[in-house]
Amino acid sequence: MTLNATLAVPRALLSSEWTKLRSVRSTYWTLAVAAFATVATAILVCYSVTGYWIRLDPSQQATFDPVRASFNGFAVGQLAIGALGVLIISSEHTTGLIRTTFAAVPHRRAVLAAKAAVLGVLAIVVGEAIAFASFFAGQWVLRPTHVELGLGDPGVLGAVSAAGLYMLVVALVGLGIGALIRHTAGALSALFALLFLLPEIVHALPSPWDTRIGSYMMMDAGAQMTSLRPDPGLLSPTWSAVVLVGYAVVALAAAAWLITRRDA
Amino acid sequence: MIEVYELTKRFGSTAAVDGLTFTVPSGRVTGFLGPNGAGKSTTMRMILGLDAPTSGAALIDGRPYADLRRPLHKVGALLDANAVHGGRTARDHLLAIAQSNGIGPGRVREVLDQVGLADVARRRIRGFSLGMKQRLGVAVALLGDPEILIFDEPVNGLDPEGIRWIRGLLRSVAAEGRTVFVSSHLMSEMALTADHLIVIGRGRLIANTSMAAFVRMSSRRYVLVRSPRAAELADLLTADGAAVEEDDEPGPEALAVTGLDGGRIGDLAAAHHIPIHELTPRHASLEEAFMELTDSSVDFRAESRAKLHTAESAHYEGALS
Repeated sequence: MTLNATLAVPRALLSSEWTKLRSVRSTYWTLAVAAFATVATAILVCYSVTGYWIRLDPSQQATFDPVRASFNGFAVGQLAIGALGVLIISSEHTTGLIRTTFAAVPHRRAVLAAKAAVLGVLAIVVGEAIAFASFFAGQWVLRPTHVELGLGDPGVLGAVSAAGLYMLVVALVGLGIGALIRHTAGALSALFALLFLLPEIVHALPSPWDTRIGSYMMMDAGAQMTSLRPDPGLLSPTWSAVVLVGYAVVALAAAAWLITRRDA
Repeated sequence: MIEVYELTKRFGSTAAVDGLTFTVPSGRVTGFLGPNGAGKSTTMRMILGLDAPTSGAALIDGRPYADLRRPLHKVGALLDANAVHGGRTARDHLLAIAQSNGIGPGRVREVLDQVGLADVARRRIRGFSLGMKQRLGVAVALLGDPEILIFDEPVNGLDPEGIRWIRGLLRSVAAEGRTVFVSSHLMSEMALTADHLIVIGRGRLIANTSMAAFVRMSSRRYVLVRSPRAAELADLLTADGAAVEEDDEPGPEALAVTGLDGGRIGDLAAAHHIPIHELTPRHASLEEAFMELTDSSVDFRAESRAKLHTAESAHYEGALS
C-alpha cells in the first residue's frame, strides 16, 4: 500500500464518516461536556484568583499569566474530547459494526484516515471555540485584578489558538488509542492514564528528571505551548507543539500499522 | 462466483478452518452447512477479507475481496444483525454505509421499502426487535444491488414470521439470478432454500453436492412394520433377504425393514398367516442424515489423529533404538 493511496481519502468515505459522527448522540454529549467543563472551570479558577489577588506579593502579581489562568479547564475538558476520539472507532469494534465498515471499505487505512479527518475538523472547530470562549470568560472574570488581557495584546492570539490546537491533538490521540485497544472502556482507561497518571509518576521522579521528562507530558507541553511566560527551563513553546503533534502522529501511525494486521 | 482454495485458519494450535476447497457457482443458492463451531462464520469472514487466512485463498470472481473497488456493488453480506450502533437511526445506519460506496440516499429509501422498514426509518435501532435488525442487515446487503449475497445464519433466533420472510427473500433474490451463499446449522432450513450444498465439520469439507443428490445419498428408506408376531415375521423377512432391526418407536412391537418393499412384506406375511397392524414406508429425516454425516467426520478426525500419534511415537521409538 503506497503512501499516496493511504493519503488519497475519497470523498465518499468522508461523507460516510461524517454521517456516522453526526448521527449518534455521544458526539453531541462529549462536545457539550467538553465545552461546559472547560469554560466553567476557567470561570471558577479565575474567580478564585480575584478572591486572593490582593494578598499576592507584587512579584507574584507581576508573573501572573492571565491567559494561562483561563485555560485551567482544559485539564477537565480534554478528557471529553479525547473520549469522542476513542468512541468514533471503539464503538464500531464494541458493536461489531467495524466488520460491516471494513467489508464495505476493505482499504482499512483509508477508513482510519477518513475518521481522523472528520474528527480533526470537528475537534479543531470546537476546540478553538472552547479556547476562545474560555479566554473571554476568564478575562471577563479577572477584570477586578486589572491584569486581564485582550486578543490584541502581544502573544495572546497565538496562545489562545494553540489551546484550541491542543484539543485537536487529544482527539486524534484518542482515536489512535481507540483503534489500538478496540474496547471503549480499555481505551478510555489508557487515555486517562496517558493524560493524568503518567505525568503523576514522572513528576514524582527525582530532580532534574521530573521536569526533563515531565515537559514531554501532554499537559505540560500543552501548558508550555499556551503560556505567555513559558518556563525557560523547559521545552520551548514551539518544541512543545512539535511534541504534541508527535503524540498524535505516533498514536495514528501505530493504529494504521496494526489495523491491516489484525482480524476485524 | 466465490472460490475457496485450501483455505486454512488457525487460532493457536486449533484449526478453525482446515484446508477447505470449494466453489460457490453463480446464479444459485448454495447452502453452507455444518454444526455450530464448524468454521462457517470464519470461512465467510475470510471470503469478505475481514480475517486473514493462515494459508490458502478466497476469491470473488477471481480476485481477492480486498481488491474490489466499492465492493457493495459486487457482494452484499449479512454476518451479524446485532452488529449495529443502537443510537443511530435505521436510515442513518444505511446512509453511512451507502455513502462509503458512493450510493445515494434514494437507494437507501428503496431498500428500506424493500425490507419493510420504511415506517421506522427514523427510529433508533436500539428499539428494534431481532427480526427488524435482521431486515436492516438484509437492507445493508442489498444496498449496492450486488450479484453475490452472503448470509450467515440468517434465520437464527427469528420468530416464525421472520423465518418465513427470510426464506421468501432467499427465494426471490435467487429467482433474480443472484448468487446466494447462506450458512445454517439446520439441514431442514437448507432443504427449503438451497440448490447446492457444501457441508463442513470441524473446518473440513465433508460434502459438496447438489441438494437432490444429497437427499438421494443420505435418505435412509425403510418400512415400519407392526405385528403381534414380530419375532416370527422378522425371521421370515431375513430369510427373504431383508435387513431387520427392532424399531425403537413407541407402541407395540415394531420392526424397521430395509431391502424389501411394503408389498413384498405384506405378501410374505399373508402367505404365513401373520397379522400385520401397520405397514408404513419411512424416510430418515434430512436432519438425521446430516447429523450422521457430521458425526462420522468427527469420528474420522479422531481416528486419523490417533493414527498420526501412533506414527509419531513409532518414529520416536525408532530414533531411540
